[in-house]
Amino acid sequence: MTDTRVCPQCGRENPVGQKSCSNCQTPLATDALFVPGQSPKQVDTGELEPMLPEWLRSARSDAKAADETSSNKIEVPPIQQQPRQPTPKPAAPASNIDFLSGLQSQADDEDDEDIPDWLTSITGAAKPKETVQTENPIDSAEGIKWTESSEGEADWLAGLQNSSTISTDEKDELTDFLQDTPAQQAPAFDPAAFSETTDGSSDWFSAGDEKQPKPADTGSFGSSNWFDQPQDESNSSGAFDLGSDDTPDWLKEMSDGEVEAPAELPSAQPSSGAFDLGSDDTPDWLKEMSGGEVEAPAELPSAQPSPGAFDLGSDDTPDWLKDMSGGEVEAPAELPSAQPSSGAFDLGSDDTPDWLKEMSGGEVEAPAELPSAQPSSGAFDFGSDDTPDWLKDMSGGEVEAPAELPSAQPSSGAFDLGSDDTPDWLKDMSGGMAPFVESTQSESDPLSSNKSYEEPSWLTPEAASAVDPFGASLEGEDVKDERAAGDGLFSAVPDWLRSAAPESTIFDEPEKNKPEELEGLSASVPFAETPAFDSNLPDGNDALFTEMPDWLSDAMESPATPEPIIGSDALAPNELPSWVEAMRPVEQTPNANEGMALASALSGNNSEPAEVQGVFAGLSGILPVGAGFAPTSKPKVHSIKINADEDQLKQAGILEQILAAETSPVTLASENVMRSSRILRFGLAFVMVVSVFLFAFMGTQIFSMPVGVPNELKTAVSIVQSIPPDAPVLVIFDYDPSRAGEMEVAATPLFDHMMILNHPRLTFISTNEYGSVLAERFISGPLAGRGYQSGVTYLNLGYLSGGHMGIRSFAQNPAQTITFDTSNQFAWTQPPLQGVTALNQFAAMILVTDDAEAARAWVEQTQELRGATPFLVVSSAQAAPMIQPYFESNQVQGMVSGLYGGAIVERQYNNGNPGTARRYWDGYSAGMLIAAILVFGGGLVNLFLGMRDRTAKREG
Amino acid sequence: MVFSLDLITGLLSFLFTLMVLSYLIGDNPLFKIAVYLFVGVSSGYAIAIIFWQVLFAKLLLPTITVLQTGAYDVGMIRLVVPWLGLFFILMKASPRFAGASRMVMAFLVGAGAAVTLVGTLTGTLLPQIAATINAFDLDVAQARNIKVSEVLGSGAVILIGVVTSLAYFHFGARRQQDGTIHRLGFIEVAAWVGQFFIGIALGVIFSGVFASALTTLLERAFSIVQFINTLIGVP
Repeated sequence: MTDTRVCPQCGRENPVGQKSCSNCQTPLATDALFVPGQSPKQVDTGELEPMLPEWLRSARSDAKAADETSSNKIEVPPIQQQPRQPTPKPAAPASNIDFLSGLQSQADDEDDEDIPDWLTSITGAAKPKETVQTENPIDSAEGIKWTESSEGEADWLAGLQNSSTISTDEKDELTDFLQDTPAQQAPAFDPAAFSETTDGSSDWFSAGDEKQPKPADTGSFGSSNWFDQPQDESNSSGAFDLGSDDTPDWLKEMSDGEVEAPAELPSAQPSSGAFDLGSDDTPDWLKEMSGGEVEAPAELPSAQPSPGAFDLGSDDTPDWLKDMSGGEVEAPAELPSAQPSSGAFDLGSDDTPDWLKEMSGGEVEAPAELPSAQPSSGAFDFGSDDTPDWLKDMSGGEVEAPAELPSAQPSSGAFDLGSDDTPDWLKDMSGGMAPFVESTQSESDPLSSNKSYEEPSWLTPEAASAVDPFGASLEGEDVKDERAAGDGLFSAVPDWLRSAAPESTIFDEPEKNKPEELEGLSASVPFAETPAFDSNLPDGNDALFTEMPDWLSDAMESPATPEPIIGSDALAPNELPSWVEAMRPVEQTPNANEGMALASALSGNNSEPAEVQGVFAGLSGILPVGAGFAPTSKPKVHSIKINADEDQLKQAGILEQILAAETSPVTLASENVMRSSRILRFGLAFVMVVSVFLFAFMGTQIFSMPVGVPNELKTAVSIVQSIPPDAPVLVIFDYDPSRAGEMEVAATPLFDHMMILNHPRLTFISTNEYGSVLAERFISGPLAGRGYQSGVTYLNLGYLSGGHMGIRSFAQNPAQTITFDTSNQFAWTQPPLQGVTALNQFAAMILVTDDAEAARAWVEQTQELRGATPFLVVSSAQAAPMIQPYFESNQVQGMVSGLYGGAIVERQYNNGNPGTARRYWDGYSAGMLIAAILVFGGGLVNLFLGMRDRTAKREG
Repeated sequence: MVFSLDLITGLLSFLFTLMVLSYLIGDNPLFKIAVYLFVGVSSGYAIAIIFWQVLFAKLLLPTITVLQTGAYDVGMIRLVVPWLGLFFILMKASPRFAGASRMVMAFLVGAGAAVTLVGTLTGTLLPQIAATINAFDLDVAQARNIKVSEVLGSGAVILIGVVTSLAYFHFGARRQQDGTIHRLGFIEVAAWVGQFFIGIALGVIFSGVFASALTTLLERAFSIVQFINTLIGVP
């Protein structure tokens, strides 16, 4: 459907036939990618060779050339060679890079097996190959054809599996290369061990061991296949084409010079692992690794070049690594028919850590002295000055031990762990080398049983058993049997893993040595019978992992109850270490005072007190323990003055004023209110009271009675005088008791005149609660002389409730509104009300009130109902002005108001009786005169003050 | 020594008068005591008057009378409404049943407003308008036996006083061209004239108040003098 193929990486469309993305070079062949869970299938991986990196193709070309050389009497392999056309081969091994299968396609193995050869041979029981090279020791030793020489894999795997097993368990405790070093013995710095024992080991380092064929284990711990793959069939296993663009620079440089090395070798395959580490970009330590050893294979007559030989002579190589490749390089050269150590390092450099130097002390030299021993490919030169001391020590005397071993493979990785500077745990490692050797030998057992393939001589069980630099006794056949019995531990392990696992491990031990408490667990728990650390091992077998660090050994060997530490290393309770004590100035002086002085001098600040006790005694500037312990010092005053110019300060001032104005209360402007002066009030009161009481006490009649009769009063007297005799008159008392004095003075002359003339029947009613009692007081007080009796000549109906409605109701139907009098007697049948059933039946209605509203209510509500009944009002002086309009409107026929009206009636119409008005008149007249004077005088004063103020304003 | 009731009454009247007059020097306990006593006595007396002269006389006594006489036909019908009104108004004491008094209160307020409104309209407003007009009635002058000029002058003053006083309380105004707000010109003039009438009326009222108060003071002064004279035996 599609003519293009989308790159899964960058998404760019590429032609269908294109193998890789033109943009990101990502392989486009989906079948070339490894899919998890995908079963291996037989594909022609030769088609994918163009995808290989250039350096790898070169390596394959070299391998191919080497193969042809081996068959055609060695030819110099071309550096750049076109990949041969692939032939149909079985599926590639479980690798996510297809060029591995391509390598297999180069092999002559025509077996159509799904299982890769390396996987089938990993169990050690691999089927014998028909193409085993037995005649060419070089080929057999180097394991050139990985995929073909599965038999040869057993040789190295014998030691490899052993080392991997050990190192896997111990990698947490020890450095990987240290783990591998005593295990393999021969390559002191075996990169293959790295790649197999540590998950994150560097691939390049594993590639340095070209002589170690590792067809199957390359992927066991994640090592990159690209590095394993160069171990091609005919070429030297480690010969890489490092000139490819895909190759890292440092790796390229590593391969600069070393690639040529095989060419110089007579009848010797070039060292596949010979790197050119002399490049400037190569790290120093790596260069040093390849210091002198690189040349060694070239000098070896008929010796297999070391595949792991590095050129560590570069300037960038760390010194210690350069030293690693220092003098030990020569050792393999001196060995007759000894395989040169490709991994020989010079550990004698000054940059080399001491511990590493010490490791390379004697062991590195060992292969040189070993007759007919395969030189160690990992020999280090620990003699460099840059090498750490402890590493130098490692290369000390122990090196000689392997040299004494006849026909033993030299162990270039033997270190001198007996130096004093060596840590204890590392020293113990020197005694624990034997288990590695044992395991190495044990690993080779199953493989050695198959003699149909050829294995390197140094990997043979015999050689392995001989490689005991420490003279440790090697185990015999009994031990092998016991290890074989321990294979049952892997019953629970998958087949593929069990086949990959060593058939016997270093943890195998005789059943008799197992602790009793572990016996029960050994049957079911894998590896239960092989404790990682067994202290019951014989003394002669001081295995590395039985010689654990002190802390770990103590943890296992110490009893349940820890014993107190007694000795020089133990610290006494509450006792500081010596170095801490040395820091304390107070303790360094004979006495505390001197210490204090010294502390002050050291601190340079005498103001701060020094501690006199405790841990910090003698030190000054210590934070106080709590409040009050430290002297309080006045805080430093910091200037808060702002650098501002004048304008900014003005603006800030304005802003401050605005803010202050917002918060300050605003005084409301109020007009000047004239308040009565206390003195003025007292003075006026005094004048009024004195005058009134004076006239009251004196009883004078200085002031004449009023002469003029107002019209309202005149009409009122006329009406009173016109009342028929003994006629019912309704008298309404609606005033407050406080006004009784005035109302009685105003009403008494009129009523007295009326009683004298007509003797009317009076009916009292009131619209307030106090009217009834005031009526009783009025009739029994000022009019007491007229002899009116309740129920006979007068009747008190009492309180008329309801306000306007009550008045309206009473005007409409008086008998139903007020049925009973104040004595709860039926009122309308009594003599005062005889013949009266309606309001208009009264001869007159006289309202005595001090309230204009009461007068208005009675006028309004009774106007239409009273008919021709005159309505007279006796009011107080204060209510008269409001009632006067009703008189002008003829709604009120007559009105007598206040003392003035009473005095007129009394004097003019009643002959001066009862005389009360006259008594009050002088006082009243005086009071009114004084009031008029005060009012007039006050007005004049105010006028004067006003004129003065206006004049002042005008002048101002 | 026998104290007569008049002496005790006169003594109490004298003391309470002095206590009230002590207000001249400011608020003091004596004045408060006198006021509290007057208020208390007045309230108690008012309650007693209401009970005896309203409830008992107009509700209980008729009910008892009806019950005693057995005149249920008319009496009870007239007493049912007051009793229902009393019952519903008492419901105001309970917030839960306060709604029951609404009908009674509505009746009282409505009836009172109607009575007052009608009374004010027919008893004050229309008669006063007519009185103002009648001030120029010559027949009134003849009836009162006064001169026509006096009638016309009196009527003119009343008319001017009424109009200008009403104009003073007219606050309607318009914005002028200069932005200020002023009443119309003739209203401003009438209002200015009306303030004199108002001032005179207030002065008359003040004088009446002062005259009333002065009369009361005189009555108290003569009461005290009479009490003193009684004490000292002066006739």
